Amino acid sequence: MKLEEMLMNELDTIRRCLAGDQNGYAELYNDYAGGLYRLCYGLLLHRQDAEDVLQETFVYAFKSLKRYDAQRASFKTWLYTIAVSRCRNMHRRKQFQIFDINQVFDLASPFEEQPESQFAQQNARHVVERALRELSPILREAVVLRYAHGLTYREMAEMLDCPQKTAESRVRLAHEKLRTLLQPNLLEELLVLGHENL
Amino acid sequence: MKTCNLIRKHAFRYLSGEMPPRQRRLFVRHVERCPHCQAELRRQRAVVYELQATLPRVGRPQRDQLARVWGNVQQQLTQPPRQTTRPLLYQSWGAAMMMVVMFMLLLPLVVRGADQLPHFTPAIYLPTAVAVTTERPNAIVLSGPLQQATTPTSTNTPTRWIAVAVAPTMAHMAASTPTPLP
Repeated sequence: MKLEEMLMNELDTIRRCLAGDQNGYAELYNDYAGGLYRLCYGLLLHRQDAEDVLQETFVYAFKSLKRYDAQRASFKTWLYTIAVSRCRNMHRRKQFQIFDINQVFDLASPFEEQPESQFAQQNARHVVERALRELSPILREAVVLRYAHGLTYREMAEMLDCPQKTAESRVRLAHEKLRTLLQPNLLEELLVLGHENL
Repeated sequence: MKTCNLIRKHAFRYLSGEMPPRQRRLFVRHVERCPHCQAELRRQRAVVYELQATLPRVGRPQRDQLARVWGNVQQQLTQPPRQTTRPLLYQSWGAAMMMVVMFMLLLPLVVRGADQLPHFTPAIYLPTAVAVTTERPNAIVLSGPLQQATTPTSTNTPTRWIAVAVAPTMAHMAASTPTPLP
């Protein structure tokens, strides 16, 4: 399906929602809930908090759907902006908590009897998650939006309410920090890569 | 060495495809000749690959999670909007300011105790009375506190209290002992 068609369908769904069609809400939820949950989890690194923020985001978005202006931003950008702002609030509320014991157990559990490739993938994921925890919330936002959601710097600037250059420099800073954090784990990969074409 | 530092600084821009074509050509030309920069670029590329491959998998939701959240969302949407009531105290700035002024007035009582306050006769606490004797109209007396008020005439003289005021009265008037007028 072409991008324009998709956008038209989306606008049509929003119109149906505003007219009181409950199925429209379900469609919007199904389209965006997965991506939004990944975003929230990437920023908060806590399953329950991510669920809470996902819920808050959709409730707020659906209640204020009348205020959505398609001329100003895409529906995705609008939703993501709400979610990022909610994540910031959550982070502010939780900044004095050091760690959650459940989270520790959640991280420990997937290592039980996994096939080797799956184990390697999960291991890599946990290494990256651990590195993400070391980043400041602002740098984490930038790197998650860029790499996990493939947003352009322009979209990022819109969502984070900052100039495009700032978004770029945040990603660069996050990248530099992650490079030092991930370095030991990448040694093997470097050996395999060898000399590549530039 | 200076070029190498620049390369290290700009490697990220090269990898993310944000470098203009001319800079890109110069960049590649240098890296082809410099083993240090080749190694640096390889390291940075590995980080980018790692992030691009792994980050989209971080936090993938499970179906039951999304279904549970959807249930909660629906429930919240069907609930009637809650009416938020603000506590009476905070309904206006005026009320809040009044509370602050009251607090400041009462602060000495709390800090030092009422009995340790310096003794003074606040006019507003002293009810005053004006006594008029029917037999001696000249004997109008400004009395002190009500219980101390006495009339200048004999006890048999009928005295009629015509006013008892608790309005602010000057302290010296209120505290003065009744003196018969000539």
